[in-house]
Amino acid sequence: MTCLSASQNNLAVARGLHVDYYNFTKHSYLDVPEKLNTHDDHICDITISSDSSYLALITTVSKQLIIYNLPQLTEYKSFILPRSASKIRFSPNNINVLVADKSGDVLIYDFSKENSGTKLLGHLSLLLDVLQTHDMKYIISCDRDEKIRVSCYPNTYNIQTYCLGHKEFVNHIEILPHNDKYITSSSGDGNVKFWDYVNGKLCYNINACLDVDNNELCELFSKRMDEEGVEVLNLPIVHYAVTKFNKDSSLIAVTIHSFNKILIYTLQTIDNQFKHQKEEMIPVQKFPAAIMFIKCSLILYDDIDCIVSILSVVNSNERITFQMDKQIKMFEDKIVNFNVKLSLDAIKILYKRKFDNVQEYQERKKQRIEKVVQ
Amino acid sequence: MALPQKKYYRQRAHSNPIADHCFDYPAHPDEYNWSNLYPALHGNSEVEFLDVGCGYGGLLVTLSPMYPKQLMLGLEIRVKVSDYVNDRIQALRVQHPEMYQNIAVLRTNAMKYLPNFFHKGQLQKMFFLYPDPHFKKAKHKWRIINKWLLSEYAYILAEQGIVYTITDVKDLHEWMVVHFEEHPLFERLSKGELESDPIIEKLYESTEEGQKVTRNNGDKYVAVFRRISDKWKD
Ligand SMILES: C[S@@+](CC[C@H](N)C(=O)[O-])C[C@H]1O[C@@H](n2cnc3c(N)ncnc32)[C@H](O)[C@@H]1O
Repeated sequence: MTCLSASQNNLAVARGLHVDYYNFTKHSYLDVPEKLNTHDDHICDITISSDSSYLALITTVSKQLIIYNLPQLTEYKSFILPRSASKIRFSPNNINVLVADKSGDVLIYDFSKENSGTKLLGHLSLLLDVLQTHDMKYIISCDRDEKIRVSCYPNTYNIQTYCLGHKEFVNHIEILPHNDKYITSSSGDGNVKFWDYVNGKLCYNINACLDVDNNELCELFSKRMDEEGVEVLNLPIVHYAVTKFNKDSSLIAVTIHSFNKILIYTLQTIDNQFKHQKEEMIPVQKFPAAIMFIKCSLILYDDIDCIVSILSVVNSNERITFQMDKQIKMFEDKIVNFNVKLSLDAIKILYKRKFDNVQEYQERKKQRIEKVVQ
Repeated sequence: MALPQKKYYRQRAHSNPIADHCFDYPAHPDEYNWSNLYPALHGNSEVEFLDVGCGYGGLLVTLSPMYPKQLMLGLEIRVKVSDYVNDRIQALRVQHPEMYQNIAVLRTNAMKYLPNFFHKGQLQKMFFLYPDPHFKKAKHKWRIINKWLLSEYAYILAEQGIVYTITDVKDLHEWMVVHFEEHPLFERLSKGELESDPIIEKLYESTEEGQKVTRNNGDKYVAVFRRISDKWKD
């Protein structure tokens, strides 16, 4: 669930069925048509195309996919999705929208056409993210079952490879901004990984949850999940954002469940050798509802007070730090009644409750065999 | 060591292959320790034959002496049934030292975890013998053959690898043929090509399900396919 999107000179925040679109001079508002009389219908993902010409969003209950023209904010196309979706993304050429849904399907919508919507591939697991590589040759999708799949495009029936190694759900994937030979992923296992996606090879790992300087948080979360019958060893990564820093390195921002600091790393690749460095931990008052980068500025969104904070990078010789640049109040002159659900709770459903029917069977078998022996 | 008795291992016919169960699977195929399953043989060799939904394991037991150098694995989702196959193989190994070292069974959901166990292009042969028919339309998504799963099977199969199917359900046979023929990475083998393959005759009666169909005078439909290279050119 992402309620924030931005590009060079505009940003959009979603709340309930409403959007505040801000072009850094004025706010405009957009109301998604209410299709059903349900109060919990809301926008669950919003995204602005890389060329800033379109805004796309999807809704939970009414399953709408709507594309708007920017900057006019007029509706351009709308579709009803076959199933509830979790994530949308524009193709690199901004003529298609990719949809990753909860039943495990990736669909593609050509929004220049009326009756578009084709299934490209299917996992048997809830999808959390999808992207298309810059050269358009691959569609990469990730799911609740720890998997990242790389499918050829447009011949998506041909699976190029899998990137396997995460131990929990994979919730974000991105092309490594400074070198598009690689992708990077974040997971409920608390790790950030870097992959050669054509060959499915793991290249590098950052165990980000080790940088949480408060051990109680993990214990607390483990205990709470244990009550629900799930064994959790690490705090999960919640938000993940990456941006190009220079020709050899990318900036990485990570938030970890219940930890009120944003971890900032740089990841460098020189001659295919990976190296990372922890640069900063930015304390925040509230756990952000979304984070992203625009160039080297970090954008945070607090959905309780509806405040977007923009932090800009300060590059002193040795270390990279961030400094508050401005704060923008969203939905200031528009009343939106919507109870925000804690994103911290939403992540819990991504864990698999395991029930063990093998152990019980083995016990009974042992008894049977012992009886025979007596 | 006596062979296991089937009466202790019976289980309800269907378990939902889409629900979460407790399965142990490696995060990556390299992390799996195959020497537990093939203590005598595992070295540099990898599993090459895969019997998907192997039931009580009759096919593995038949093929084992025919291809003593190839590692074969049966996948079975039901706890008791897979345990039966395991006990059967252990007993056979004791009764016939030096034999049956190349077969093993693993309890897993073949619809979900194949890429966790097998590398791209690893398998030479896959078997789908008398798969569950799931007659009702709403349950078709449970069928082990569908357009999307075929892509996964194509991924773990080597080019030129072979998929064998047999069923007593005509509708399911037609369903499988259509899906394989429509998939760009498979082609059907002609009747002539089947004749030279010694495995074909074993498909009919090696397995418990095949024997049951014979007892009931049921029909048997065989269809065999080859994994071909991708012809896509952009
Ligand atoms: C009708 S039986 C046939 C068994 C065997 N091939 C034979 O010919 O006797 C189908 C078997 O497939 C198993 N099965 C069904 N779905 C499965 C799945 N997703 N993964 C592994 N096994 C599965 C069932 O438990 C059942 O034992």
